[in-house]
Amino acid sequence: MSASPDLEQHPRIPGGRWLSTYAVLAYLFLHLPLLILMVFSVNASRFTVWEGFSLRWYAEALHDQELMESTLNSLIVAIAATGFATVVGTLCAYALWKRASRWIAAGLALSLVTPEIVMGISLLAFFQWVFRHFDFRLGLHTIVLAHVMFSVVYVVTVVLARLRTMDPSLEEAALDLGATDWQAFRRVTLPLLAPAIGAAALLAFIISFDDYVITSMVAGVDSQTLPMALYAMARRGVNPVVNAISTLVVGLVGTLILVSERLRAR
Amino acid sequence: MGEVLELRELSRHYPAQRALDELSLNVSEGEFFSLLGPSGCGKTTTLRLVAGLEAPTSGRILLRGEAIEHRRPHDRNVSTVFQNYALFPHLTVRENIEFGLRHRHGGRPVDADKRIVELVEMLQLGDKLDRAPEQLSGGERQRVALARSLVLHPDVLLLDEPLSALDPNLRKQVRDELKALQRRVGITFLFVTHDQEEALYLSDRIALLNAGRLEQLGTPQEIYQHPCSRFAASFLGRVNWLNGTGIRPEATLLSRDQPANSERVYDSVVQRCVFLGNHLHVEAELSGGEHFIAELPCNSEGFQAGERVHVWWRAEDELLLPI
Ligand SMILES: Nc1ncnc2c1ncn2[C@@H]1O[C@H](COP(=O)(O)OP(=O)(O)OP(=O)(O)O)[C@@H](O)[C@H]1O
Ligand SMILES: [Mg+2]
Repeated sequence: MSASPDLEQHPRIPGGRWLSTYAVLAYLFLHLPLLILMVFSVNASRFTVWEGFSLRWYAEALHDQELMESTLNSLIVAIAATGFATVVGTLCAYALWKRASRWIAAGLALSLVTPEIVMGISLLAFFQWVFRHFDFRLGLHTIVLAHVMFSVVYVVTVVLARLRTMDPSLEEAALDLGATDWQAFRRVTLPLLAPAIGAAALLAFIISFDDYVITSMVAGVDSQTLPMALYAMARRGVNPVVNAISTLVVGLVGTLILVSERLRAR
Repeated sequence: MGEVLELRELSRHYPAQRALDELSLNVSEGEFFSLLGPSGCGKTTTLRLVAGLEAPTSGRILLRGEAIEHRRPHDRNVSTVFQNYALFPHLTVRENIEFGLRHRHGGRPVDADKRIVELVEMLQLGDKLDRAPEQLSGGERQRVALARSLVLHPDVLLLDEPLSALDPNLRKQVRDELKALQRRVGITFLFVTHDQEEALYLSDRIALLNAGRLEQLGTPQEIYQHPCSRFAASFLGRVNWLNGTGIRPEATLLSRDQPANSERVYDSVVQRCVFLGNHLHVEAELSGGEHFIAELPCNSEGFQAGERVHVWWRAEDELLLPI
């Protein structure tokens, strides 16, 4: 074959049409349940029959005392956990970058693959052991601690990925020009890491806001987060209020993920 | 002129390797001093030790007579121009240049603004001050890196192959500018390169390194004309080995008639003769089979391939090497 302009075009994939059909079906399979949830959240009827557009379930959700309280709890927990996890995770990533330690890295990976239920049970056991010695009870603070624990590794992963693309001579140049270690970190490394740290924080926030399994283990009797409240409501039977609030959560999380991806690409 | 920088038996050993082994040398005030050597011979290591970015295994570093080997990098009045320039990408050119002044020990010097204005003018960066480093050409980046370091008036400016990131056409021009700049600011330069031509062209003195050790130290002329070893002789330029004697190509002479000098004459056969503009490049072979190159003045008459000629040289042009 001679070199023809055809070579410039995209190569034809055999069965390309089937590939796109397959992609559409896979996407539907992934997102159809969510789509149905959203549709029924604006359905006037209480049942799964379309009766026309209405926002009454949203209004009901916003007036539900228990839901609003648990949402507030979730926000408090997520914000506090994100704050701690971001600081700890960023410093941990920085340390790993400066002095690669296979053991610490492996330890972090371990916490990524530990089943949630195992982590929940072990945390509960840990807290109960601690409570023998100190006067403590389960509550929002134990949820925050648990969330910091499992979201740190995500922060480390995201921040470390960015650090690995950073030129180490930048920090050396700062030292060389008279900056102390802290000034070099503060004025050179940190600003360059800022987008990645932002992305990591959003990720930690989402993971914390979403968590059910571990949270339900360490929450104690009188603090409830939004996923716990939704779970309880859903078990009591079909309730369009659950659809409405879930749609709002999906919207919030989706937006945060988009922002996080944007930051990560910067 | 006094010594600015003194290295005394400075060593840096890694588990697998002696990156630098007992290097001793003195650099004088205002000198353009080059560290020359092949890849991996310890040039960058030396600069990093002086800058404090790495700690020596043993040995001392004296800056204006004071031992600095235990000081942190920000506590040494030297500054580095990194090979890739390491400009801060999130700061503008102006902020890059002011970075060191902001963090300098003892606060911003009173004449800081004057220093900036002078350097910016000298390095022609006036219209680039508000740009980000990524909006600059390679040559401009290099000038910003120079300005950023020079504005601190370091006792010694350390330069790690600052020309290697530039394209070859620009390199010669920037080389001239660098030399002129050094004369103008009068700051001592410790310059690292693996390019012998660059080192010869720029330096007041050269330290030739080989596998972490000092091979030879001297002016460009001394090292080129009186190399102390075969390694030094061949690293500084081409050498013809004619029956065991080292001769530079430009000192290797050819003639059809028997030359007057009768001691250093051999028969040879021309293989190739090419006119290269500034000289005539002749490749030939001794009857013993040794291949050599002669660079003759461009107005000499050419030779034919296969022609038999006499090769000879002057006694004073022989490279005298210890056996
Ligand atoms: N961190 C390190 N760990 C182990 N060996 C090292 C380290 N840094 C440098 N070396 C070794 O020390 C030797 C000297 O390195 P150095 O960077 O000083 O060479 P160089 O003369 O600057 O070479 P080049 O011209 O290639 O830049 C090299 O052989 C290198 O492999
Ligand atoms: Mg080097």
